[in-house]
Amino acid sequence: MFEENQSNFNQDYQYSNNDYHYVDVGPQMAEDGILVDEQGYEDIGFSIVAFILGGLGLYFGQSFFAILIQSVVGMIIRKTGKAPHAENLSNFSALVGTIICLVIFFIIIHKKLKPLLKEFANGKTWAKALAYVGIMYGAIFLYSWIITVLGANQATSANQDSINLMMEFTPILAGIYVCIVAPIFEEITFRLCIFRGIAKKNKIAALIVVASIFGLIHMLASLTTGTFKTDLITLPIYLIGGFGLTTAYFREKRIGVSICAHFIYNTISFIMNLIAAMIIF
Amino acid sequence: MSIKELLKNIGGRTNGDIYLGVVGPVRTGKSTFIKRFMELVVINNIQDEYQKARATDELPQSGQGKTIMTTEPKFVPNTAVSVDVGENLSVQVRLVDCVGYVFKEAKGYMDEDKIRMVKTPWFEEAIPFDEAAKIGTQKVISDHCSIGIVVTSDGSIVDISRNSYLEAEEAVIKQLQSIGKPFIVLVNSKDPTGATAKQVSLEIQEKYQVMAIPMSIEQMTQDDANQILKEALYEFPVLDVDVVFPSWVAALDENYWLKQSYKASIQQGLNEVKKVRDVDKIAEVLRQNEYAKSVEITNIDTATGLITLCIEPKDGLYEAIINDIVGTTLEDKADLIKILQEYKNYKDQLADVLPAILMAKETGYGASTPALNDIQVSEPELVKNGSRYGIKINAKAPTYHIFKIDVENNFEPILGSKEQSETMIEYLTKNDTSLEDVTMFGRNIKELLKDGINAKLLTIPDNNRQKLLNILKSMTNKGKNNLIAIVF
Repeated sequence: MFEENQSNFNQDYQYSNNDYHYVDVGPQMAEDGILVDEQGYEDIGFSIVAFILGGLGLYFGQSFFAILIQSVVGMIIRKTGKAPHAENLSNFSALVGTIICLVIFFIIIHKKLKPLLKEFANGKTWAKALAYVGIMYGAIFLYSWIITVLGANQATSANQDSINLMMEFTPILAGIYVCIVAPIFEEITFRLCIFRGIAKKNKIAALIVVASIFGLIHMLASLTTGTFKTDLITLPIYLIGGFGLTTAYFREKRIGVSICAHFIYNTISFIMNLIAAMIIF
Repeated sequence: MSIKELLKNIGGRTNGDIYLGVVGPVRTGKSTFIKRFMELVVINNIQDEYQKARATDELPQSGQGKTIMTTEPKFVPNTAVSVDVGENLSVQVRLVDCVGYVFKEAKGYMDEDKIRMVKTPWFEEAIPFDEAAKIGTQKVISDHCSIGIVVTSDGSIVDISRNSYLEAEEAVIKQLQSIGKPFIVLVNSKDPTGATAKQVSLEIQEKYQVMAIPMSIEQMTQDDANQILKEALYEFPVLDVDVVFPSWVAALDENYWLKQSYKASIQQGLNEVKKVRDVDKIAEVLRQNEYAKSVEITNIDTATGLITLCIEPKDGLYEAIINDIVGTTLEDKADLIKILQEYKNYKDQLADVLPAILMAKETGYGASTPALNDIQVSEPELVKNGSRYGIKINAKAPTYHIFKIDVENNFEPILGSKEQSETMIEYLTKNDTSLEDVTMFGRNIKELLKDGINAKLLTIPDNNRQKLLNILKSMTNKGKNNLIAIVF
């Protein structure tokens, strides 16, 4: 396989005026053995349009499937004469909807999937992810300390409240969703698709836009609960997350790093919340 | 009241400057009044001999007959004199003499068959004498006096009939009334106790609603001067009304119906009263109040315009109010004791929670602070902090957290066709009575809705109630949620 790729690589060199010129190299083999595009990111064979559409498709498709599943499953349960618990049904639908979107996406990129999976077997991926998590926690601790010194109210956001509620009603589903499914889904949506789509034109703009969108999207729930103003105090946390994870991908050029960082961060936070909930209940 | 007290009180209403503007038709005795008043009231009370002599020298001339003696406005004395009124207080007194309003029968304003032309400080050209007299009087009324003394006559002092004065008298009085200056009217008469003088005074009082005193200015005595000042004091406006209730009425809530009823009567009385003289009208209006047994004016402070009224409520009202407040009829003292004990019990139970309820009503959330007696303090414990030791005292107290939750409920009866439902909506919305008072299926709509709301209150499962309790307990004792454990 390596030889095949190597021969493709050589074909991309062209001669012009008796000098060597790098014109359009196409996918290349990186040092870690992963096929990358001209910017050094994993090659999944997407154009700019495909990246953006893929990101938007994943984001809105997840909501679409979640609502569809909620309606269908709710109807089926009601037919049996039992009343579904709204919270359980909603959490289940969100999880399944997300998984369906991911499966569809993986089917689309199935030919390029294997190298991506290889990233998780690399110890360096986890080490780098851990470093980014450390930086993110450092920034969050600093922000939390400043807020405490200023005496401002440390409220949670509506997004966090909904996760807490999910933990309360369906703790196992919540664990799977928060620690595994959400990091994979969000990293593929925001970093692998949307970031890469914009980065084809401008990498710095892509970093700022994607990090900001990621931060702001976590505040959307606060608009529906009417607590946006008080929840604004959590916006810097989400922005730290947005910039931390996007920078991880921006610098390391491997989606595995940002997925692992997201996974580690969410798992630690989830365990902290779980301990807090256990203390309360 | 003595003359000094009167001057002191008038000084209180005029910031210490008593400037009497003596106005009215010509040939009524204005200058004579000023001369007599100065002699009786002012000069007698001036301590400084020089001032006394100067004030005497500046007294105006007066004369008999139809001829106008005062031909221009004059300040008497030229600068105000200080009169000591006791308690280290003094007032500045000055009178202003006017030509007065001219009428046909008066003499001295015509040059042969033409009106005399005079030079005035207000115009560059000479103007007719009567016009100058009018302008001078107006200036005195509006700019130079704190109290107006309108001098008129019943027609007995000189050979001028009463009718001749009427037009000029009305013009002066109307002008004083239009600018709201306190004033009284003196009806100058050779026979002030006679029927004519009394009749003229009465007519003026009725026509202009102002005090008119019949008086022989030439023969004016100290008592007459006192009366003039006293009546003048009563012409000042009422500035404040102090109403004294029995203490149990005063203790009632401001919005309680009895207080509202008294307040409405007081307001109605105040609308009818403008001058201190009319204060009886307030009392009269209050006496009409169905809950007032008697109303007395206990004090009129003429120096400040403060009127004090005392209202005594009707007999039996105290008992009726107690019954109304407790919401039941108390037959005897035993009933009252029972109610008071119940109240004490409620107060003990709810005193700490009430502020939390009020706060929750206002903001949606309220927390009570524990009473000192409710705080349980543990025995002091020895604690080690590094290499040092200290003590720890633990306290525990119950607190109550009140949340305002708007519970919603719908009433949706199925009536049949669309037309039937539309007819029902029309009936419910166009009915004169409130929607809440409408009865459906034998029950009041509001009651039906309330039942639904009550039922919803019981739907929170026990385990969720416990969770809510635990969350609050944890948040109160261990602090607020922090930002560190937020999940992306």
